[in-house]
Amino acid sequence: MEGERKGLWRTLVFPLSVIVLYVVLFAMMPSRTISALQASGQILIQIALPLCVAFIIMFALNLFIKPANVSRFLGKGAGVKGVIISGLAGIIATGPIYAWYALLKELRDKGASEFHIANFLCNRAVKPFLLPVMIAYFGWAFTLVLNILLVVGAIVTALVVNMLSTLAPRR
Amino acid sequence: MRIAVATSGADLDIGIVTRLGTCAYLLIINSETLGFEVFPRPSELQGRGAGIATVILAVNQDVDVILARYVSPRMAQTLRENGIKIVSGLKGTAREAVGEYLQGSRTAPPEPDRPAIHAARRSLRQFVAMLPVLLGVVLLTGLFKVFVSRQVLTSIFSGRPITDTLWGACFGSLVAGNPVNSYVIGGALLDAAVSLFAVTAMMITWVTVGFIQLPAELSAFGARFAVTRNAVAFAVALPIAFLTVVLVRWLS
Repeated sequence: MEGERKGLWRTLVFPLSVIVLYVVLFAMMPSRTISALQASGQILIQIALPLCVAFIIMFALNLFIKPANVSRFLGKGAGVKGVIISGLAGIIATGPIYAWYALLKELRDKGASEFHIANFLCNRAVKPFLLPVMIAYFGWAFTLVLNILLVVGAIVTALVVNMLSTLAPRR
Repeated sequence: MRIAVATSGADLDIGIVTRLGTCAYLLIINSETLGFEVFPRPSELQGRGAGIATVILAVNQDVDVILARYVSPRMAQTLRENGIKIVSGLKGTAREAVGEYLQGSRTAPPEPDRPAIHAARRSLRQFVAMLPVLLGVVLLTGLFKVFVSRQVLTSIFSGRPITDTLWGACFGSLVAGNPVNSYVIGGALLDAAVSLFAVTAMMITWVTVGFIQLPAELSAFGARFAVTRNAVAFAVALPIAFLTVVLVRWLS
């Protein structure tokens, strides 16, 4: 219960700080602060529809894919299968990264290679349910190219990390 | 059958903990041999992360049933989704709980089969959890648009692709959080005439490089892995950002 309260406080401290900043600025420069509020309103309108689509995709992913189930196979695959599984697990992973560190640490202790761990961590940048928001901001071409390159970049990062780890094996 | 019991100690004669998420150990008992294995829960995790860690531990150990005094509805749902039965309301030691369960005096309640409703609830929770910080970022972006002049930005982001990419990647590495926040900030930076090179690099390193999360990554995987991974991810982010912008311009 205390942990949940701490988590809630951590989540709210940033937006509350921004609201306090607005109040302070309003006292000093009311017209510019109102302009800032209007600009924020426009951004909210801009992202409202993509966020609704994001929710629908989030629902579909939650209905059909269970991240904990994928994690069961993480580190078990070799070759192309291993690359796909660790990458896919990173893409669908939701929630705080700290919890995933615990799982990944356990998997590494059981022999999962550093390639899979690094591939998982870097593929977290690809978020299917947020694609509508990215498309709304940057367009189809950018979204497509960036996400493909992010997956490729994750593999390159993982390969280099794995290569360096074999040069200097962990103690 | 693999039976897990959440306890505060590494022994069958230790009492069951009040809440599954607060257990220090998960004892996994083989129902046929009655032999047991001890799995400590990662001690650095508290609160929500601790609950998830316990679920992941149970899933990875192929547990069939969990015996506990109390399991939160959220944890219970995640465990059931992964095929793990839950028997709650048990008291006494781990040995007594396993005995009661094996004698048949305690059984798992029938599972509600409403995957769509559970998926909707989970999505709503994830969505609501994302909103406060997103709202803060939107409000801060509004301030940024009005109070930060283009001159200030052009003094940092000069328009030169290489330096812009580097500065964008540095900024993204220093902050962390849900990627959607980087999209909102990136959109505002583009409106303020900051180059797409800088914005793309910022969005990539926002997730792949974690300066704030580095202590946690260090403690989980050790200094060599954490530092190497972050350094390589930073180095790889630069050509990816560059290539993305070049390809997008070529495509359009």
